[in-house]
Parts: sequence; structure tokens; C-alpha cells
Amino acid sequence: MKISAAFLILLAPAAWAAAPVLTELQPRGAELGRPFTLTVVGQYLGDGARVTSTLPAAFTPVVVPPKPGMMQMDRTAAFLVELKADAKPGVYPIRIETAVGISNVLLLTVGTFPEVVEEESQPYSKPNRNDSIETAEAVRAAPVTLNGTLRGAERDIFRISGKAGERRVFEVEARRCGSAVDPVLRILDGSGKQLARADDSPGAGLDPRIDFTFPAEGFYYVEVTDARFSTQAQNFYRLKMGAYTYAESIFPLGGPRGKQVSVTFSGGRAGAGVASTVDLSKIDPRAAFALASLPDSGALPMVFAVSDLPEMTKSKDGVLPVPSVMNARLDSPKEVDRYQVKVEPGDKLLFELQARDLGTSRLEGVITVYDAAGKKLDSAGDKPLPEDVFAVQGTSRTSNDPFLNVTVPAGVHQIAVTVEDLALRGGPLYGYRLITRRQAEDFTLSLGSPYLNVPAGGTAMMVIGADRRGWDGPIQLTVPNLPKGVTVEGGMIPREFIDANNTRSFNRRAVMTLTAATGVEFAPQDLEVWGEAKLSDGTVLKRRARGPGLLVDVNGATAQGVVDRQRSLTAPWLDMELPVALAEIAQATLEVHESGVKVMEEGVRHEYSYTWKLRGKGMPPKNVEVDVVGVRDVRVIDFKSADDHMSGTFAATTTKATDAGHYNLYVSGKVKMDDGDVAVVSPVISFDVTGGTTSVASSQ
Amino acid sequence: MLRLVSSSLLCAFALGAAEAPKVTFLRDVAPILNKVGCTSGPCHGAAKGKNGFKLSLRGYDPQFDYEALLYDLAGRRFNRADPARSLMLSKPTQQVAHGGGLRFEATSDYYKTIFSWIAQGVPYGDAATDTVKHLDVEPKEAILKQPGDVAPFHVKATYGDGTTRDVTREANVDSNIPNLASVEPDAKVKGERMGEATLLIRYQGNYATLPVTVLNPQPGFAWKQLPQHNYIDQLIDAKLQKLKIQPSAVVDDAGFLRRASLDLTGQLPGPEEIRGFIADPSKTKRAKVIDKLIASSAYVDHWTLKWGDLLQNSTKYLGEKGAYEFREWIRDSVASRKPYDKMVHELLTSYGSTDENPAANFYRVTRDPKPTMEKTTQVFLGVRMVCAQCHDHPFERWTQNQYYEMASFFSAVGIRPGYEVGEEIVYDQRADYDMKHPKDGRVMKPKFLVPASLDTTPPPTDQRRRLAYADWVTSKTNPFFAKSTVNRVWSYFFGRGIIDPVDDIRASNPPSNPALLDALTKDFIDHNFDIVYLMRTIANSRTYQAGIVTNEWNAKDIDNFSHAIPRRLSAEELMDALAQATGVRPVFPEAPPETRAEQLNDPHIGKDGFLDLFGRPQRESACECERRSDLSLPQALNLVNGKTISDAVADSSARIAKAVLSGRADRDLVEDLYLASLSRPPNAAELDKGLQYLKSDAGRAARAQDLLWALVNSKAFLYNF
Repeated sequence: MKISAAFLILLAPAAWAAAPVLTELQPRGAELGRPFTLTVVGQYLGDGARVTSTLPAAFTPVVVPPKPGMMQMDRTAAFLVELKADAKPGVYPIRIETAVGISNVLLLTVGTFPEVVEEESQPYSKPNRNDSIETAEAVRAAPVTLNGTLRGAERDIFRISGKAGERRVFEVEARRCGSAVDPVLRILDGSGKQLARADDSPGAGLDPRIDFTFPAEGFYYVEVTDARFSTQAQNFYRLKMGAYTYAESIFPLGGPRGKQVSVTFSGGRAGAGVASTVDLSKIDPRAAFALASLPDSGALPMVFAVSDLPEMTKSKDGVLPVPSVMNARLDSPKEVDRYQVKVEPGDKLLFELQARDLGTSRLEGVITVYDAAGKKLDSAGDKPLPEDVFAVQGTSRTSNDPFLNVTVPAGVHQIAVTVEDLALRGGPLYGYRLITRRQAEDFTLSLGSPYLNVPAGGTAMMVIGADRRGWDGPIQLTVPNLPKGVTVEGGMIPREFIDANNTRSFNRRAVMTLTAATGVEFAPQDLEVWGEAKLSDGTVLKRRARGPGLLVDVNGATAQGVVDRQRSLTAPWLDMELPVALAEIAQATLEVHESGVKVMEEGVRHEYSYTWKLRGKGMPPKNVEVDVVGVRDVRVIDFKSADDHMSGTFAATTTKATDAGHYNLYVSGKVKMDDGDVAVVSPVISFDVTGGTTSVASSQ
Repeated sequence: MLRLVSSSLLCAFALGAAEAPKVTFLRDVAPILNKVGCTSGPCHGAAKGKNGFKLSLRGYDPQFDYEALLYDLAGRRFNRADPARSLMLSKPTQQVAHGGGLRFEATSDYYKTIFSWIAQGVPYGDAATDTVKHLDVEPKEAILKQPGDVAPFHVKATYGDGTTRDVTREANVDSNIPNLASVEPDAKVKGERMGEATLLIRYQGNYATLPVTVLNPQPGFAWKQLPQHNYIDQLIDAKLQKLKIQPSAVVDDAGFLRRASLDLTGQLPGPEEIRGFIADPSKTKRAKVIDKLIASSAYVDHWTLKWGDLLQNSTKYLGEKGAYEFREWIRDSVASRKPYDKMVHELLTSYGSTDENPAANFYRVTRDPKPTMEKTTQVFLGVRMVCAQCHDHPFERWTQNQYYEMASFFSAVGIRPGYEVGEEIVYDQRADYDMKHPKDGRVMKPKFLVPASLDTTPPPTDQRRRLAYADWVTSKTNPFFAKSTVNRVWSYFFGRGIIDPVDDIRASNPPSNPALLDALTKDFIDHNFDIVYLMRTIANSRTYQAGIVTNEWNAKDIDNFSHAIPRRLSAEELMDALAQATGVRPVFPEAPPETRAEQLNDPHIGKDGFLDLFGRPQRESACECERRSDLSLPQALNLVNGKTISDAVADSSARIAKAVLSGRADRDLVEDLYLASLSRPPNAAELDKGLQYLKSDAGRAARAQDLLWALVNSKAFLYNF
């Protein structure tokens, strides 16, 4: 039960105002082998800011003398960046670390072409300078990477020249580089007539690419727009123009940790296939992703999955061992791949498909399981999506790669598993990884917060999401590698069940709070978050949460009548967990305590009483917000606040329909300080609901 | 009294019962129920029946009606021992209270027929022999020499066993234009005014039509042959000559350029373009400018907008990206001059990701098989099937069974959210996709309305059945596809179709010039469904280029294209015309600068403003009627007082401000304003008045603004004529 959703969003990214915040990088990219000055823009960047990044480079702070009208010093920081010899083309995270915390991550792209910045995107430039072919900005060099921005409903148009028969690749890098822009690319002739257009190109995700042959010598125009003409905070793009090699697909889509994996890039200028190797021999044991680059190419690398299961690209006699990862591809339309699995009655199997999630496949997969007689047992990927709380708006609903839990029926010793595309498509872009495990009940965890700054003597909050894969019971989260002096509370995801109205309860969110004792000190570090569940057969299942790497909000085209709620942009391929740093001493703290439990209606209902107390500076909120995580049929009532609003009470009442279980609760509020509002959250406390439940069924 | 009547009748009928002919429900009784109105919509044919008694609408389902009569009310509607005491006789004769009033007298033939039927044991009849197979009407065509003349007609039904019967009295007859040809009670048609109309004759689910021509009685008509540019003019002239209508001469050059520019591109010509066109002495300049307009990007935008309306491209249904991508797909189809059959085939067979294959957005609007079928027949065939969902079509031969057989072509289409926000996957379901009849749950196999060719192989019943539908729709031998398309396109150039409304083709809504429609259809098919070719043919005809000024012979004609009929500019045309006239583009915050109204992809952009006031459709329906072309008081008030016009006229970067700042001479300024707004130079009187007005003391700029404001508020600006 969530009382104030909007407030929690404010809390999520960073709990303390003085920690650094990154809003922009200038430039967004760099040419390999060429030193450059990187200016980071944001807030609270002045206190000994330094860069942390996986980019092999030296970042030397430099002072840029202020110019009239320039932003305040703590809003920018500059670094001389010298790329090391082993730096490769790709996308790298840039984070700022100061004495009072760490910032969010923005991405910097390293390429092989000279970099220029669109005139309109230069500091103090007027907007809409190149919105028509009459005012197009001339770009004379090629190859080149042009860094531009799109401010809402605008077009950026560039004039280029080409010779008859000359081939050139035009590609926009945006979503792959951390921009919220969903770019569209057009090439126009001298009169403005469209010659080519691309939106989402193979192998480039939502980014477009046009491999263009100029029909005649002359001027042409290249236009970049957003697919929705939306307004984004991260609104940059990189328009790459040159005669470089690129591929549209890679196969296989992943490989086993510790091995050198042979891959083939194909499509585009890679043609029928360019053989290469992805080195997973020294990859981090926690990493789930690697990057695969087309040799001798200026193209961005592709995401490559990593696993610890036995991997194969061909099955002997069509038999699929368990466990295994089958790397395969639907080579042609209407193709259905079929595998046999030897089983015993009662076996519990989990089939998972990896395809679109990786960004290197267009497969909308359907998994179907048949018994030996050909009778369909179950399928996934072809059923209506559940009406869960994350998908209330029709046009914003999305599917994910399917998974299927199967319990082998009595008398069945062999089953067949098929993989096909929902729309029966096929071709080089329809690769997949079919993961087969003997695991009836499972779940995955993802961190909603890409990083955390914990105020000394205060509390910070993080949200963790669960993707249930057969396991509907409670999940308890823990953080095993806490710094000394830091405590963690909360982390309970209650069970899911079907209630008396035949409605499923969706419990896929946990809240955890980290509290640092006064005077504690620790260096920034990655925390691990683990989830633990006791399965129905008594075994304990542990799963590690994965971090989003970065979190970029993506807006819909808000001026229109119907707005698609967009999914935030993340970069799980950065393989980050939870970077945590110690922030400044908390200016205010909040606590909540249970003060009593009253039994109502002869034990059918309970009323839990709570007191809360705010300490510190600033103007307190009139009342606190209460979030009871994941429990239904609980009412929060009787809010009372002291005259000074520094303390108060409230109660939570259960009903006879309230599901028995262990639940988390916390309170939060906004305290007005001189320099703005500061979000304050209490450590999570727990309470137990016993008896009284009328839940009619559980899928456990 | 009741006893008295029934007893006397009983005696009368009992005497003749032995030699009475066999009476069946199918052949004898059902037609009476239909004729006297029992099965009509306001009575027992209503969706829920009337007073607990439900019959099928207009008797489209005789089996249902028979069973309702027999078994409802525990069978108490008949008294077989004493037929006269049957409710089925006592109610319509009002011997007992009847909400529907008196339907026939107790002494009538209808009474006797029903009495005999009850006396014979209420037999249903044999569907093979007692069902009407076809209707014939005599004469085949009624030609009335002048308004006021009448002509009789007779209707003959032929049954399954080959026997015939005169059913003139029981047949239902309607005129499609009652104020042109009306139906008299004694089976006669009366001419009301000059022109052509059609009588629709219905009897027991069968239909026949009777074309009626009312000639012009005015003496002194002498046909004056005008130049004929192509076969359109020949076929139009043939019809007009027959009706004694003299067509108008062609419009002048400026008028032609304005009309062609608006019709082909939705934009007004610019002042320099008009000056150049008028000055051009070439005899082929009209054909050349038609080609030039068709080659312009404005042409592509204009027809992309039209197709966006019909295909209901809207963020409401397709999401933000879907609406943009679908527009691009439509635009590319128009720009690449994709043959129309190919475009429609691609839409109907589309599948996969709506982001990767934007044509698949077609299925996201209606989503379910029934509305999808209704949309495809209405948009691509000009046939409205919606009535047949609940009952057989009242004015056409389409049955409820056919409705579900046609909808069955789309029953396997599945739509599922895709990976990206706003993306959906259109696919063909593998199982559980049968279309079932709502009455009895029987599986309705896909079946075409009519065969498109001699090949009568049944369509496939697997999940890819819609492929066969796409082939059928776009076949050169489909009787509706090409015909409805040329008719629709024709309407865009004349304001009305040869069949009108354009998306309601049926026997009772015949073409005003069948020969012309057939010729256009054949030409369109012969040129591989090339819309551009069709438009060029139409635009080059003298008929299209006819002036608005009428003569004594065609002043009253509104059906036969003998002169141009003014059409109000559409909302988008009007807004773009204002921009052209004033020199100031409106700003849509949701679209890039310099976007024209005709380039908007979504009806939600600029919602509740000028565009909606002037009838922009919200794309909630595939009906052409959703775009309004009326002129209302709020519109008039907006034109007179609204900010859209007043701000544009007075804008600091507007045409007038620029002209004044550049020191343009008064004469040139007045000419510019006329050319930019009315697309023609002022005549001498207008020029003189304009010059006088500018010379006042109030300030030249203010006076010029007044003049432009007056021009854009004139009918000559608001209409395409």
C-alpha cells in the first residue's frame, strides 16, 4: 500500500542535496587517440570533483576561467582527458565523486571519427537555427561525428555534398549512448524531396542508420528529429557520417564465462558474415554482459550475454540437455525450432528466452511445450499480458522475453519445446538464447536506484523490483557487504495470491533503507543486494539483484492529447550493482515506532498504532507520508501531528481480508531548508499480520 | 360482438376451406406481416420486440418469426379449432386491444389468408419451393416526360419451384430521392422534379430497382456541344443531353488554378504562380500545372492527410510513435505512387511489429474482427455492413450470416504489446480463432460477399485466411473495389460521388451516371490502380474544369456534374490558406516550426481550436461523414472575431507588414492581397475600391489589414469553386 507515489520518486535517485548531480557532458563523445577537455555540468560539482569511469583514460582536473554569463562554478567541472592506448570505441560511464557523495552516471561515447558540435548546440546559441533546408548547417568534412541536441519539436538539418555512386553510412547514436531521444533520420535531395528514411535500424535498437549511395553529385540534406517530437532532458544525439563497416546482427547472442567465443557479425556492410571472437576468458565473475565489437569498425559494440551454464549452438539429435543455453536463430519466416528434453514425471523445469532484452534480436518469442504425444502442455509469449500495476495505460504496456514454468505430468518421459516468433518472422535478426534449467520456482531482482548516497547519521532509501518466474511467495532481501556502521532495514516483498474476488495481488517491490551511524566513515563502494526465498519444497533460493547502471527519464510527447508513458532508459550492460557513498551529515532525520497493537472484532482485525518523530533543522512538513509496502486491505488512519509538526501519530488497521504475513512500513516527508526541500525518510520498520486472512488461493 | 364476427367469418371460411389453396407461412403469411408493419423497427421488429413479442426486423429471418409465433406465449397465438379466436387475427384487427392499432380489417384478404393458414394447421412451407428466388419489376425503366407525370409498375416474385406471383401490393417500395420521384399508394411512381432517381422494391429478402427519369419539360432546349477533353466529358455529355441539361463552360485560368491547387494539394497558389499562369499563352498549360501539382510535396501531404482520416491514424489508437510511423508509411505509399491495390493488400496482410512494419497499425484501430471487417468493407469497397451484424441489411441483400462469414476473415488476427513502449505485434493466432454466430454459436467459415472471379474455391479456413481476403478485395474482378475507389476519388474533386454517399454503395443508392462510373472503373483497373493516373484524368476533363456559373438549363442540376458546385475549404485547407493569405504560419507546439496544418499527423494536435471548429475529424470513424463541411454560427463568429485571423493579419512578420515596410505601391499591394487570398487579381472596380480605401487617413497598414481581413472573410476565400 503506497500512500504517496510522487514523493517516493523524489526520494529515489539521491537522498541528499549536497551530493553531486550530473545533467550534461560536454562533449558527449570523443575521437580515439585525441585528448580533449570534458566539461561536466550539474550541481554540487565544486568540492574536489573527480571522475570515476571504466574508460581507460587519465582525467586531469583543469580550471576553466569563468566568462561573463557563465554558470556558477559548482555547476561545472572540467577535465583534460587523455585516452590510453588500450581504449576502444564504445560507450563508457562517467561518474563524479566528491567528498560528499557520488553522482549519477552519464555516458560518454568514444569513436573513431573527428567530432564536431552542431552550431545550434554551442553555448549561448539561438534555438531553431537549422530547422529548414534553407537554414541548414553545412557539414563539409567526412567522416565526422556531429554532436547535436533536439529541443522539443524541432528538426536539425545539415547540408552535405556527395558524388554520384558514392556510398556513405549515416547513423545516429542516441539511445545506445544514454540519450532519451528516439531519433529519426532522413536524407533529402537538394529540393527537399525525401530519398531515404530510417527510424529503428537493425542492430541499432531505437537508433537509425541509412547506408546511402548518392545518385548524383550535388548537395543533400540530412535531417534528424525525435520520433515523437518530445522534449527530453537528455536530448543529445551523435550523427555519424562516413564510409565505415557495420553489422546488423551478431550470432550467437552470448556465450559462456571463461571462454573465447567465436561469433559472426552479419548484415549491413559486414555482408554475409565477418568472423570474430568475443573474449570472455577474463570477464568479471559477476558480469552478465560483455560487449562485442566488429573488427576494424567505427560502429558501436553490441551487447553480448554471459552465463555460467553449458552453452551450445547445435543440439545433438535435437536433444536439449538440462541445464543448458541453446544459442540458435530462426533463419527464415515461419520457422519453428523444436527441441526434445528427457524428463521424469514431476520434474520442474524453467525455460527462459533471451532475445529482445539483449537489444540484438527482434524476436518476439513464443515458447511452447508439448508432451511426447504432441499434446500442448503450456506456452508463453502468446498470452495476454497480466493487468499489473505497471501497465495500466494500454499503449504503454510492453512485453518482455517469455519464460515458462513446466511441471512434467505423470507418465511423460520426454517433452518437446518449440521456439518461434509470435508473428512467424525469421532471418538474421531473429537469434535467441533458450535457457533450460531444472528450477520450478524462480525470481530475478533489479535495483530501482542506480546509486545511493547515505547521509552520515541519516537514512537513504532504495527500491528493488522483483520479476517473479514461478515463485509467488515472500522474498526477503539482504545486503551482506554493508560498510561498518551502516545498517539496513526492510527488504520484504510479500507473497502474491489470488483473493476472494479472483484478483491477483501484485507484489513485486521492496523498499530498503540504509542508515549510517553518526561519525561513521567509508569509501564509495558497490553493495550487493540479495533476495532469499524458501521455496515450496523447502529449498532456499538466493538471487542477486542487478543494478540499472544509469536511469534516464524518457518523456512522452506531452503536448499531445494522448501521451505514452515511456520506460526509463537504463544500461544494465554496465554490470553495476549498487554504488554507495557517504554523504554529508543529515540535516534532518525521521523515525517511526510501533506504539501498540489493538485487537478488534474478536481477533478478526487489528489496529497498529505508530508514533513518528522528526529531528533536525528546517521547516517540517504538516504531516508525514506513510508507505506500507505490498499489503492490501490495510487503511492508514487517524493522522495526528504535534503543534510544531515535529512528531505525530497514526494507525494502520487490517481487515479480515488482510493477508497474513510480514510487512514493511516507513514514513517520509519533505523538510524545507534554506536552499530548497530535502526529502527525509525513516528507517523501515516491520510488523506482522497474523490470522484473519481470507485469501482463497495461492499459487505457491 | 367478437363472438358474432368470428362466428360469421368462421362459417364463411369453413365453407370454402375444402377447396382453399394451400397457405404457407413462407409464401403467404410472412409477406403480410412485413407489409402491414408487424416486423418493422418501431413494432415487433425492434431489437427487443414489442410488448413481449419479438419478430426479426423486416422479416429477414422467417424461421425465427415462425417459431416466435408458434412457441412464444405458450403457443396461445393460435386457436386452430377456432382460427377467428386466434390472437394473431384478433390483435391486428383490433378485436382485442393492440398497441400497434388496426393493421388490417377483418374482411380483408390478409385476414382471410391468415385464417386459412391457421385452419390448415399453420404450415411453415418448404424452404426450397416457397422461398422467393428473385424479383422482377416492370417496366425496367420509367421515363416521365415532365414533373407531375405518373407511371405504374408491377412486381413479380419467382419462387423456388418456378412459380410466379404478382406481389406488387405486398412489396415495399422506397424512392432514394423522394422529392424527385415519389411513390404513390397504388403502385405508381410520380415525377416531382427534373432528374433521376431509383425505386428500391423489397419483398421477402429480395430486391429489385426501378430507375426513374423525369425529363425537363422546358421548351427550346438545343444542345450546344462544348469541347470534350476525354471520355469523362463524352459520358457526362451523353447523360446531360438526355436530361436536356446544358453544361457550363470552363472556368477562367485563375479559377482553374485555385481549384486544381486546392483539390490536388490542399494549398492555395502563390501570387507569383498565379500571375505566371495567367500570362502563360500555352494551350497545354492546364495539363502541365496539373502534373506540376501532382509532383509537389504538398500533393503528398494532402493525400496523406486524406488517407490518415480514412485509416483513422491517431495517437489515441496508435500511441505517439505509432501515429508518426503510420503517417510515414501512408506518405511513402503516396509519394512512391504505390498502386492502390498494392497499398491495400499491404495493409490487409500486414503483420509483425508496428514499429518495424507500420502498415500493421491498420489493425490497432479497430482491433476486433467485426469492426475491422466493417472498416475494410466501408473504406475499400464502399459497402456498409454494420446493419447486418444484428439482422439482415434492410436496404441491401447482405445477410447476418454474411456479416459473420466476412468477419471471420479477421478472427485469427491477434494483437499483443511489443517490447518497446507503444509497439504492438500483429500476428495470426494459432488456435481458438473461430468466428461464431451470436444466435446459435455455430462456427462461421470465411466466405466472400460475392465471388470476385469464376474460381469459386472456398477461402482457406486456417489462421492466414485474411490473405485470401486481401486477394479478393484487391482483385481486378472484385465488383466493388475499383468502383468504390474511383467513386471516392471523384467525390474529392466534385464534392459528391457518382454514387453518394461514397461509402454506401448499394442497390438502392445507384450511380447518377452508371456508364461514367463503369468507364472510370475500367480505366483505373487497366492502369493498374494508379490513383495519380485517375486524378490526372479527372482533373484534365472539361467536366472538372467547368465553371460555377450556371445557365438556364443546368441551374437546378446538382446531381449530374453540369457545373461546379462550391465546396467549403476543409479545416486544414482553411488554416493553410490563411497562412498563405497573411504570410504567417500558425505555430503548433507539438510540431516543428513551419509545419502546415495539412502535415499534422494526429487530430489531437491543436485540439479544441480552429481546426476542430471547422470540422477536422477526430478519426473516430472510417466514414467520410466525420469530416464536417458545414458553415455554422460559431465558425462565422470565429472568422469575424477570432484570434486566428486577426492575429495573422496583424502579425509583425505578415504579408502586410512586409509590404508596408518595403514600400510596396498601393496598386501592387491591393493586387497582392487579392492574389494571395482569392487567387485572382482584382477586377477594375475592386482595384479602384481598394485603392480608395488605402488612401484614407487611418494609416495605410491598418487599412490594408482591414482589406485583407475582409477578403479572408468573403465566401470567395472560404469556398473552393
